Formats: sequence, C-alpha cells, structure tokens
Amino acid sequence: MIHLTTTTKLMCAGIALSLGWIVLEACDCDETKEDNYPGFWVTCIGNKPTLMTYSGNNATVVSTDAAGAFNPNDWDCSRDLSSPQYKGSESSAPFQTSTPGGPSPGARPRAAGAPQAAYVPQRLRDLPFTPNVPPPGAPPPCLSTYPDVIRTNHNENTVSRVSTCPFTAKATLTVFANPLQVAVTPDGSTALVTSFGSLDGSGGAVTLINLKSNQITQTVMMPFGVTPNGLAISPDGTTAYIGNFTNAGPSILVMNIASQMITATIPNVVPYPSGLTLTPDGSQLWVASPLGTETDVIDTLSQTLEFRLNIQLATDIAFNSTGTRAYITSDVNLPGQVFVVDTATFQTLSTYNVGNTPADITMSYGDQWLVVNNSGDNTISVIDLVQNSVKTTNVGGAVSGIAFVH
Amino acid sequence: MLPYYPQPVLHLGPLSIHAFGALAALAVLVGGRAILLRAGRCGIPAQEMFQFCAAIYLCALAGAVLAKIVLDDFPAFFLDPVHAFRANLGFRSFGGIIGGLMGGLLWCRFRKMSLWEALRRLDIVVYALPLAWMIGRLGCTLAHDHRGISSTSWLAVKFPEGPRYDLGLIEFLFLIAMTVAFRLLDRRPRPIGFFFGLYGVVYGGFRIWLDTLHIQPLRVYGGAIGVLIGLLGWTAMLAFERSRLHQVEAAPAAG
Amino acid sequence: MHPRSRLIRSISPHFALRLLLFGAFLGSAFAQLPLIYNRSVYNAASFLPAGLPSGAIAQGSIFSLFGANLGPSQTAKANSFPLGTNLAGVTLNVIQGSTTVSAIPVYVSPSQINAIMPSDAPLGAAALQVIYNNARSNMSPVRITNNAFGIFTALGTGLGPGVLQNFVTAGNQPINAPTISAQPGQTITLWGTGLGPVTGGDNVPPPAGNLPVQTEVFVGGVSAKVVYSGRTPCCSGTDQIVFQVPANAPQGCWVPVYVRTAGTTISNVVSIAIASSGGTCTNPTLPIISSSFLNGGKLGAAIVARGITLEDIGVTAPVNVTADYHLSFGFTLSGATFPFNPAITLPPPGTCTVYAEQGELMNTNPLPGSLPPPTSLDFGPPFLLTGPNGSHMLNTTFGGPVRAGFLGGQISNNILPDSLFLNPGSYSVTGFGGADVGAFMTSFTIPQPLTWTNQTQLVTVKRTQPLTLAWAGGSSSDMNYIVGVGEDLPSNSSAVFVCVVPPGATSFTVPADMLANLPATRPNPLQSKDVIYLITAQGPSIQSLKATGLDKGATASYLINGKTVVFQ
Repeated sequence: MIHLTTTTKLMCAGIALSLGWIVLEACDCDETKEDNYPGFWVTCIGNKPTLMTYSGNNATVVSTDAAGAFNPNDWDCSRDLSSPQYKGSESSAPFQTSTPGGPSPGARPRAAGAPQAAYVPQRLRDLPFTPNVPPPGAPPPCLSTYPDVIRTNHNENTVSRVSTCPFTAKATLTVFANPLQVAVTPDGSTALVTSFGSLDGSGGAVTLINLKSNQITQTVMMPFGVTPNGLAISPDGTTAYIGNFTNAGPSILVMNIASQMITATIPNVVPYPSGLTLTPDGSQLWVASPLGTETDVIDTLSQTLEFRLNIQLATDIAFNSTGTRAYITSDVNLPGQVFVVDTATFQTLSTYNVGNTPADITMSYGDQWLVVNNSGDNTISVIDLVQNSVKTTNVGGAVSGIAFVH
Repeated sequence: MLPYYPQPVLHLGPLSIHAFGALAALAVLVGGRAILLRAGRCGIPAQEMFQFCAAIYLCALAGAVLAKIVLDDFPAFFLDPVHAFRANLGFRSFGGIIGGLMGGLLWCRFRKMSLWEALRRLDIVVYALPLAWMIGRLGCTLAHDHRGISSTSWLAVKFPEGPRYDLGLIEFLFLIAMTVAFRLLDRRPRPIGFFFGLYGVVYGGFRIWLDTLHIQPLRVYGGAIGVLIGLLGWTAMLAFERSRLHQVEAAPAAG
Repeated sequence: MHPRSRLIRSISPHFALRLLLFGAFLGSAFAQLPLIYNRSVYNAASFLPAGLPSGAIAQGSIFSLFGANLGPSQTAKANSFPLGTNLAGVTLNVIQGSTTVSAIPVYVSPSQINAIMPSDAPLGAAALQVIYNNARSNMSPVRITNNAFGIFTALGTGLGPGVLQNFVTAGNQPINAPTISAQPGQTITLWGTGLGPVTGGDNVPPPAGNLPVQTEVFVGGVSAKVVYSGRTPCCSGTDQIVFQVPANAPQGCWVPVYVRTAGTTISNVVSIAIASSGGTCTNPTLPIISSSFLNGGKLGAAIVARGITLEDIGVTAPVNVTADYHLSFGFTLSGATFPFNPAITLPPPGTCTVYAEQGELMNTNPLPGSLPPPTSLDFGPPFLLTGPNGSHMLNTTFGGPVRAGFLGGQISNNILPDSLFLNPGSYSVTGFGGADVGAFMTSFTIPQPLTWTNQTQLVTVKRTQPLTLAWAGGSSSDMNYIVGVGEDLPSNSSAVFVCVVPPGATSFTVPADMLANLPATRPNPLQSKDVIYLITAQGPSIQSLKATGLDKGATASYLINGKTVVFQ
C-alpha cells in the first residue's frame, strides 16, 4: 500500500481538474472555426463580423458559407475586436394562415435575406450576370457624351461650366453675391444656384440658368433675412428645396421651379441647414447641418418633420440607389466619420472613419463606392461598400464639391 | 485523397465533449502510465516519479496556455494583457514543451538532484512522449485546426473548401513511426539521455519540415529550438558516458 | 460651506423630484414616439409594394403598416361591432391637404397595425399618421385608389398558395392544397381585400352583395365564371369572390390565379392545385422535383449554365455579356401542407405567374420560400467537370445553400477576353463522395444553342400589350421558360414574371396582365433594372445522376439568353 504524500494528493487534484477542463472545454476549434460552418470561420474586420475561408492558400473574405447559415447579425464584434462573440440567431417568421374569419393579424412582410428562401445563388441573381472585369490600365479616351460640371466660385461671385474630358472651362456667369451650392434639374435643362447674399444677412437669392444657352434666366430674390445655402431638386424636376442658412428661424423653402414661386416654408428645422438631399424616390428630404446637433428628415408630401436623427455636425448625405441606406458625413469626431443609417428604422448601423472635417459625399452607380471630400486635411476617402474598406489619400490641396461621371 | 469528417462531438445534456479534449486527456493518462511503468523498471519509486511527471505536466499546461496568450498576438498582449488572456485562451504545443521541460528541471533542482538524475528521469518521460503525443495529435487531426497548403496528393484531406494537407494527420502518422522506432531502439541498452536527445533532434527536425507545409507563415523557431534542446541533451549524454567510461577504466586499475 | 453643497441644499427635494420626472417623461416621450417605417404600408393580403402599379390601398380595404412603438405591448384585436376608430389607445389619421379621415384599426401591436381604409378616404396621395396615447408618429405617404385587390395567401406573404376554399358542401369547404385539389368545374371561394368602398359604413357588418367594380378571375390564364364578388358579411373590409374552375383550366399543383378589377388593375398572383379527380395533384412542370417537394425525398443536381445578355439600355454602346456558371445542390426535402418555392413550384406549361416584393430581387433580396426549409446534403469535395476545354474543379465561389461558382466569361468590345468554358460538346461530372451522398460519375451533352430570333427587336415593351418571343433551333426535348424582371430602384420595388413554354413550341406570347405589375422604366435608365430572359434547359443535357444517398438526381445545362428592355 503506497502512502500518498500531501504533495502527491495536491498534484493529483490539479491533474484531475485540468483533465476535466480539457475534456469538457477543449475542442481546438474555438467558437469561430469549424464548429458552426465547416471550412469557414468568423473574424472581426473593421469591427464587423466577417466570414472567411481559404481559397487555395489564401484566406479570403466570403459572404456566405456553403449552407448559407452565416448571418453577421448573429455575431458581436463590439466587445472583443479580435474574437467575435456568437449571439445566436433570430427565430424565423411563424407560419400564418389567413382564415375566412378575417385577415391574419400576424402576417408581416417578408424578411429579406432568408438563406433558405431562394435556391439561386446571389451572383446568378446579379443580373445581367456580369463577371468581374479588371479596371482598365490606361484612362479611357474622352467621349463627346462625357457630361459637364457646374461649380460655384464663392469668392468671385461666379458660376462656371466645365467640360470634364478634357477639363476646360466652357462658360462663366456672374451671379448674386456669395454663391454656395448648385443643382441641375433631372432633364439637364436648368441649373439652380443658391447665393447667401450680403454677409450682413439681409438676404440672398436663387439664380436659374438655362443650360442650353448658358444664360441666366431669372434671379429670384429671397424674402428679407433668408440666406439660401442647401439645395435639392425633386426627381420629377418640378420642385426645389432651399435651406435658409441661419440660426434665427431656420427653415426650408419650397419653390416651384416652373413658376419660380415659393409655395411653402417648412419651419423649425435644424439650425443652419446646409446639406439637403432627397431620397431617390423624392419622398423624404434629409437635412444636414454642419453646426447643428441633429439631422432632420422631412416628409415631402406633408412637408412636416418626420424624424430627428442624433447625428451632429453633419455636412452631407448620400443614399444608395434604393434609398434603403443613408450615408451621412459628420465632423463630430476626429477623424471625421460617415454614419450609415437604415432609412426605414432610422437606426445607425455602423460608421466609417474618414479624413478630418468630411464635407461632400457621393455614391457611385452600382452602390459600391462612396467618395468623401475631407476639407480638413486635403484628403479624399474612398469607401468600398462591398469589401467594407476605407482608403484615404492626400490630394495635395483643399477639396470642395464632388460629382460622379456615370 | 482522404475524406473529411467533422470533429466528433458527444452531447450529454448541456455538456459537449469534443474528440480533441477527450483524446488530449487520454494522451495524458496513457503517457503517464507508460512513464510510471518504465520508471519502475528503472528502479525509481512510483510516487517520486509521479510527482516529477505532475510537475512537468502542470508546467507544460501553463506553458502551452501562456504561449498562446502571449505569442498569438504579442503586441496586443503587451498593450492589454487582460484582454489578451480573455481572447486567446487555448494551447500552443511549443509552449507546452518548453514549460514542461522547465518544470521538470525546476523540480529536480528543488529535490536537489544531480543533472544526471534529472536527465535520467527526463529520458524516461521522453521515451513515452511519442506515444502520448501521437494520441494528442489524433485529436488535432479530428479538429482540423492545422490546415496545410493546398494539395491533391494521396495524403491530402478533402476539406470543405478544397483538398489540402492536414498537418495534424501527417504528424500523427510520423509519431506512429517514431513510437515504433523507440520501441525497437529500446531493445538494447542506451545511454542516459539517448532518447531525450533523439526526440529533440528528430521531432524538431520534422517540425521544421512540417512548418513549410503550413498555410500560415512559417514558424520554424519551435522546431529549431527542439533540435537545439535535443543536441544539448546528446551533449550531456556524451559527457556523462565519457565520465562513466573513465570511472570504469579507473576502477580495475584501483582494484 | 462648500459652494457645491450650498447649491445642493438650495434645490428642494420636491423640485428635484419634479425635475427628475419631467426629464424622464421628456426622455421617454422622445424615445417612445410611434414610428412608421419608410415604405411599410401594404394591402394586408397582397403586400404589393407601393412602387408597383397595383401597390395602392383601396378604399374600404384592409391594410397593414409596420414600425415601432405603434401600440401596446399586449396586442389588441377588434372583436365586436360596431368597430371604433380607437383600439387600445391607437388611432390612425389619413390626411390629404385639409381633409382628415380616421382609419379603423382592427389589430394593433408595437410593430404592426392592421386597419381598414375608410370607404370615404380621399383618393390619390395622402399621408398616414398613427397616434398612440396622444403621441404622434411621423407621416408616411400612402396612395389611395378606388380598387386594388389583394388575394390572401396561405403563407401570409402575398405569394404562393392562395386562401381558396373548395366548395364540396355548405358544411365542407376545405382550403385548397396540393393534397386537396380542386376539380375542373368546382366552385371555389377566394378570400381577399380591395374590391372597393361600400356604403353604409365600414364599422358595421357589411351587407352581402356584388360590389359595382368589374371583377374577373383568371385560372391558369383562362377566364373563370364569377358567381359572387363582394364583402363577406362576417367581416369588415374582407372580400369574397366565388368562381368556378374553368373546365379547360390547366391542371397542376401551382396553377396561377389572379383577379383583375376595373379591367386594368391586377392583383397578386397566387396558386391553386387542380386535378381532374381532386385529391393529390401532380405537377407537369419539373414533375420529379415537384413530387419530392410534395412528398419529401433526397434530391441532387449538378447544373451548368451559360448566360448571354445583350445590354443596350443605359450604356454608351451595346455590349454582350457572357458568363459560364456551375451550381450543384443536394437537399433532403420534407413535405409540407403548403409547399412553395419560386424556383421549383413552377406553373403548368403554357401559363405564367408573377412574383413581386419590396426589395431588389436582382441584388440581395430573395423571394420568400415555403416552410420547411430543406436540409443540405453533404456531397463531399467539389465535383470535377471535364469537357472539350479540359477539366475544371467546381469550387464554390458564390456561397449560399447551393454550391456555385464562376467558370469563365467574356464581354464584347474587348472589355473582357474570352475565357468561356461551357462550349457545346460532351461533358462528364465526377463526384468524390461525402458524408451523405456517395461518389458518382455521369455524362451529358451540351448541344448547339437555340437562337432567339426577335431578341434585337425587343427594345421597348408596352406593358398594356402582350409580348411575343420567338426562337429557332435547339432540341425538341428542350424545356423553355421566359422570365422578365422589372426593378425600380428609387422605390425599391421589384416584380418578375415567369412563363413555362409548352414542350416543342418555338414561340410564346406573354399576356399583358403578366406585364401589368412590372414598374415602368424611369427616364433615367440607371434607376431601373429591366431585362427579359429566354431560359432553356437543354434537353440532351438532362441526364440522370445516380449516387447512394440520393433518391433522384440529374445533370442539366441551361442556356440563359437575356435582353435589357424599357418597360413602358
């Protein structure tokens, strides 16, 4: 019979405990590898749960696993940037049957993105079936179809029309004092320019320019004390929304473009409304203010405030082509940020860090690229919404104004 | 090519027992038994050998866990050790080997044993190591956590994303051969430190080669350190053998 | 005394309490304002998005709206007449200029409200506002029309099997299902909402009787005899249409049914099961897959496809985009009472159906399917495809419930050089076996493709007129489908029509009714995605795929010819 010393007993206990831990806990697979999606694993990139697999010898980002079970909403990167935490998935929609006794009260709209719903891969649904095309090495040749750009020259009180390929000024017009923003009607016939007017705040004007003749057709003087800045034109080209850039009674003026009459004034908007952007269907006007503590959403039909977002010091807004996402530049943090907002729920979904004092933002056709001017550090940020990445580049000079050539 | 099977998991109510954990625990038990049996044949008391092995095991465990936490992302550990502890809990075998070795040596120092005695005991432990390691590596094979580079050779495994080497499997097969080789070599008496040095050199060299098949960047330092330790062991073995031979030669002269 | 403690002493407890309560109230008020989600007002039966022609809300109909903080956490239903305009503290205003009417809530919850649009609601664009316990929501635009019918569906999504009762006797009227088919000539009761306003109020039981709007029912494209179309006396806002299944209606498990009101407005398209002897139906389109879908089974397929799309809308110069794809899948399907999947439950040959949804069909918003979802089978490593251009491992690059990937492509005008793989010839597919399905090898042929003869003439498609496609060549055993997709990006609305061509036909005419609910192309074509496809399952390529673990398996090659169009 062996007499076990205390040391031996303690060691036995330690070994037993450790073996128990190994048996019950060790799987060498951690929550993010193999367990949930064989052949794939989840990691956090840019604070977002990202699915990865090996393509050959390279770890690559993919959007879904073989079973279509991956849902980034099931993972949480907020607590641990290097290791996403599994939250569990939401339950699927219940089976509902409408009965003759009346409508099914639980019926609700279809949940987008249910992986079992359609057995056709997303790329096959990406019509018309475009394979990846590498970017051209050389810049494309200039074509006569390339559009012109209209820009305001604030300090010269002029507006210029510039050909984009090659870059040459085509026409320069003198407008009312201190022009700020310009917008073109969808049919390309008319440009509207807001001018702040005299710096004493007595009032500004909106200038209408015929783009066929490059002549000023009308200068519409604003009521006393109205200093226009922000400008947006409805998709049907009939209505212009003009922001009164002031703190004393900020408002949005609604102007009928054909009659050049102010038909309505929407009061009590965020002070210093500047970045006015309509949703693609024209049903909402989003108002950003670089000096304000919120961003306003206005219903254009009722011309009432629909929602107030807690996004401060916002400068500009862009939407994706379906209007389901709004991208708002904000100078509230350093570096500047772009807030991504769900336009149905008005929830902020995520943010991108860009350069300092982001100003203008614009979306490319196809909803893949966002380009942001950062006026504070002479940079431009390009956000790839597919790869979920941001690249900020110094362009060597102050940047102001941006437009995509489709 | 070899088929791919997901890691077997046994679900017992709220508990899940993965094959990896079960095989790791089995490796410890099988290896421990083999060591105690061999120690008995070498005349070392069982309890003393048990304590020596326990020290090695517990320090190896701590070393493996610590190596993973510190080395997986050293800058992150340097900046926030607590966060690194939470995020990187797991094992790294290289840390286990170093931790175990240091634990064993410290224990011998604590018991005021000579280097020769320490090497004698280490030799016993290392003799059983290929057998235990082999069982542990089978667990790694089933967990598929050591992915190698893409390949369509007969030894490749059909992973869900495409066929590639499974380094755990290759090491498992190597360790089978190593276990058999140790058995065959043990048929003749070997100097103290022989198996210790042999394991370091052969296994370390094998790991250097295996790392070239790793899908992630090469980490040959583990294998290289293994080779170095093995060479040191053999150096000690040769020194002890030479000293013993001198003593044997001197004894008849004295008699 | 310390200045801070002086300040604290000077604030009386009562004032502090009031301040606290006020702050809490203010905070809770802002936090709890009802919110109607953007573009979330629908006909309660069809869920047609407002951006589609029939997506308006009819006077007197039941509509659903979605959002947050809309009502009490304990849901409430209106259970008795007369109905009121206030249900559990929830009221709804319909506002047009200076006119305001109250809708009648019949179901309220925090995230959804069902209500009746008053029969005297103003027509045209209006704004909807929810008031819950005196807290007012945002205004949400709504388009109100005289009639816009929606058929209730068994799955509650506006798609798939309709809520249709087979009349057997007055006391026996089971809901139509694939195992409870209707027979030709049988009387069917269809349930929906949106036939138009009633006189006498929406808050009291509606009188029985045909409503004045012209109402037509089409079963598999064949006009049915309508016996009754009006309110059901039991329930406000709920309509019944009683019709007879035409004797010459096509038979199958998913025969399309839709309602046309006022000669122009088309409802959502649902499906009905028709079999000559009643009982369990058989589906003539994809019969093997349909049978597995109805009865359960293990299905597998290895499919290759070539898509060739002529894009000449919204581009500076026309371009041909060709891409080769592979996709394979293995599923264990289990039966369900109302099985439905847009990719599988196709209508009978010679008929068309339409699916619509809020979202971008061609991007990341698939159509909803049925319950239960299938279980994927493990085939093992990727298949090996061998053909005239060599061999290709069919690695997964797209992901999703099927294994799919890109095989090669070409874009004309030297935009992308030719790397196409699926040229006509003999092919073999090898599977290496997995946990669920064993190894296999099978061969098939990709024949010479057919030619879409009037493809280049298809530029502007008038949605009020039928659309004819014609083709030549191909094989007599080909199965052809015509699919048209219309997406309106600014309103985030999509609709697609799917027609199954009868075997052997070389042309097909899509009825105008199937085009009616596609959104018109915008003046800026970049704001629309409109395309028509002629899809051919090439007959010689359809071969059996036999492997252990599969009940049924097949290979197939698809040729997808596409043409961008303008829907007018």
